[in-house]
Amino acid sequence: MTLNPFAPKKSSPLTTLPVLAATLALVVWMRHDALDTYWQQTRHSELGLTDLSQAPVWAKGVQWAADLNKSLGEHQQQWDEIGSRMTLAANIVIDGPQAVDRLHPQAARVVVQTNAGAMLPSTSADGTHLKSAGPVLAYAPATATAAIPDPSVLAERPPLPPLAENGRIVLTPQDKVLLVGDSMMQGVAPHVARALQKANIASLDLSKQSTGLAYPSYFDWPATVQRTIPGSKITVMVVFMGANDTWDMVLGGHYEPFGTTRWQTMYTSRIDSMVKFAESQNVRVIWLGAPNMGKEKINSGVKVLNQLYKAETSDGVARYVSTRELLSANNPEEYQKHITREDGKVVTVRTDDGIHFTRDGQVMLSNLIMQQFELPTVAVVPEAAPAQAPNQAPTSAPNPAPVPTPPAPTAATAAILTTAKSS
Amino acid sequence: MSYLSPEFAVFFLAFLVIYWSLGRWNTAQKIVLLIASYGLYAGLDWVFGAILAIYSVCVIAALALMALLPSIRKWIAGLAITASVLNLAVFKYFDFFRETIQNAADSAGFDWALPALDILLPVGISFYTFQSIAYIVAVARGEREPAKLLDSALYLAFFPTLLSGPICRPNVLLAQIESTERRQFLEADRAIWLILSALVKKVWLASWLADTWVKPLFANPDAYQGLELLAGMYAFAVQIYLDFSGYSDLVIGMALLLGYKLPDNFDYPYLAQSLRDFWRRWHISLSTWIRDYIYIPLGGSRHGWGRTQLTLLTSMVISGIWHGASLKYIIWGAMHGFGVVAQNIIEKFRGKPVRGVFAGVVTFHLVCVAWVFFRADGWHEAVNYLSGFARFNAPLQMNVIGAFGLLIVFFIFTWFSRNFSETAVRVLERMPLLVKPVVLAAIVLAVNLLGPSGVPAFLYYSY
Repeated sequence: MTLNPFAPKKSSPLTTLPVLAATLALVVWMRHDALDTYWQQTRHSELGLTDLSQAPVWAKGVQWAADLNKSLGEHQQQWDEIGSRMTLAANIVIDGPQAVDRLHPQAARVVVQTNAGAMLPSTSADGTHLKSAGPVLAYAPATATAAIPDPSVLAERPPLPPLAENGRIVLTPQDKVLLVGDSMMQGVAPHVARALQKANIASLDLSKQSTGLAYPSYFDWPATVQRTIPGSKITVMVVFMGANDTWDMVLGGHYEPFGTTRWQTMYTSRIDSMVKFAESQNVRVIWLGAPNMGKEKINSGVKVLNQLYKAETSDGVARYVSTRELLSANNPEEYQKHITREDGKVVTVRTDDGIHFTRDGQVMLSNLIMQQFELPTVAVVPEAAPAQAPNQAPTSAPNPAPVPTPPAPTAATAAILTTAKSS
Repeated sequence: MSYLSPEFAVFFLAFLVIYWSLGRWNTAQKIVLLIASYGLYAGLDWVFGAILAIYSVCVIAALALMALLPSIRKWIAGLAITASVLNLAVFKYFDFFRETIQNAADSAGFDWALPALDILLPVGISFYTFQSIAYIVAVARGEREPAKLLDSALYLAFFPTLLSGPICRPNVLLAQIESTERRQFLEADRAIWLILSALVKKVWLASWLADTWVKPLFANPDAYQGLELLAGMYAFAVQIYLDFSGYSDLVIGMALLLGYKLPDNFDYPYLAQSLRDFWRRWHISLSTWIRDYIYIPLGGSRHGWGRTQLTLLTSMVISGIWHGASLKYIIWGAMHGFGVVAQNIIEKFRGKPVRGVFAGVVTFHLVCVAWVFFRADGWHEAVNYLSGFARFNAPLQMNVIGAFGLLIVFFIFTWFSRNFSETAVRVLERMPLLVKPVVLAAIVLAVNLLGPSGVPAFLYYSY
């Protein structure tokens, strides 16, 4: 009986720990490239595992994982297809056959050719089954410059939203706003989406934590934008990131220290590829600068990033909006966790980590974004509790400062502070 | 370091090797466990480690004093518990009360500006506070004497349960820590199965549900239709279950690998046939803690039927407040409280307990509606979300048929889950040693590829 290999084994550290160690070793063997990316992205230092891939034994492991991933991805596509049909079926059951005409063109699948040569399948327009691209799923290098759009695709694109006399972007219910960014944007995006929804304007929030432009092997924003905008009705893109980007970059297998000319050139090209691509698709870009940060390393870094963002978004189609004055209302040069309003009340705007925002802070930033828009209905109130009506609804009030320039800590900021407090 | 991160996997394996190589020396094992616990905790933020150390010293001192002065041990216990609760309350609620007092002062016409203090909530403070209260009460009631210094410190810092429970009683965890017998390696294959189950539940399923169904709908409910919002509500109910029960599976599995057996924290709660039944199955270590240290001390069922209902309601509201200083959590607790009271009224008039499939469906829906308050940003948003159920004015954007289908699959799977788990453990036990790592690695790899990139955070870390 004891010789039977299928007999129950008694637990012992001597048998179990080697099993666990072997399991871990196998996983590392198949995923050492992803581990390297993870390490770079979280620890900002080299683990050196990717070098192992040069040995055929290690390359085999990565190959197996990639094969499995490919097969999972193919199944995912089939499921997405079935899902789209089920959605259509549900609409037909509820609405009758005319549902097909009323539907969003979301079922359409457009394939975009980038100049990097990769075929990028677009996601559904609502982006709800946009699979977060893991290291293996990233489709195109961030270094891809703006793809030259196919004229036939561009012909179907909605026109560039016009500007109002006060510089605001005039939105109609035909517009759709794309929200892009890291965990800072994740906090703000729901507020913006709700405020837009009140004016019947659709939005698509793709924000994802831990992302940025410094580690495209982890998440590639230029590629994501390039496969999202075509085939969807996006007319405005709002970008808010930078919290994860104040670190050294891996360029050509070597670490490039943060802020060097080479670093800045590469980073700028990534900003540029997002902005230029959006503009080529008749999409206006609002790029929010990063606010002052509670950690010195990040704080000094985002000042550099902000300069790069600003330099690439000043052509009139794209605009740069600073957030430092808003969130450091009492001293734009310094990080402030709490700001004192003009009436002497203290509002906490930042969370303990020195990076993210409290709900009040999020609402203020959302209102700052909403101030860039002229909405179709006059009576849209930014997110605020009904108990205390805001003194000023930025969307309906005349704009006290020219919009494309950073709002000075004046009446505009005060209005945002007040509405934030009342929410 | 998250328990789901690659660093932790390497750390834990290395730790297990050291820990079991000390298998002959019971005390040495406990010392390395204590060092590892503090190392991991202080690794999150050294202030957390310092707060835990100071708190542990205070609790241990109070316990020693109780042993020294038995005539006033109940007084000391009362003081210690009050101080513990105050300590927890300051960390958890200071900002909330600052704003409440500020608003009250504003409306009363006082021109105060209360300072905002930078108070960082140490992860897991609720859980170790609850464990310490259970310990103090046990000593005060004479159920046990204070343990040795090392054992008490390890009981409060034991890293598998430190961050989010399960809340272990002295007679469960402390008794095992105190045992002088050589520690046994317990049911390794069950531990491995629990860890795999945690990965599947959390890294793959809960993350997928959150990204696909929960976040977009709760972020902007007005953009969706009634059926989609209904599906989103179910999705969150399943997500929070998978998230939290996955976490519990993970820590129970980790503890088993260390030779400790922790109590179950979940018992298929959505199969409950009544709300009372639900609370016997959901976050069991918290609900029994609330029963023993809030409900019974408040009077329990000792003062007649009417008072009992009031006590039940109060306990549920306190449970709500514990989750966060926000009206939405109070509403969540009150909904459960009123639900249980309603169930008791029905049972009183019918003369028999509420049960059956229909009761189960009603219970599940009550729980789901209450979860909307739990998940939404605030109670206004929750009401707005629920009011959207009546909206049918635009085409559906999401695959609701698929979602409802998956919900049915979830229930069918849950129904057979217990047998499935036992079978899986048997299969693992019989699997040849050389094959096992390949199978395990394949499952881990698949979960890793199916889940989102990065390390997901657990919902309950913030309580």
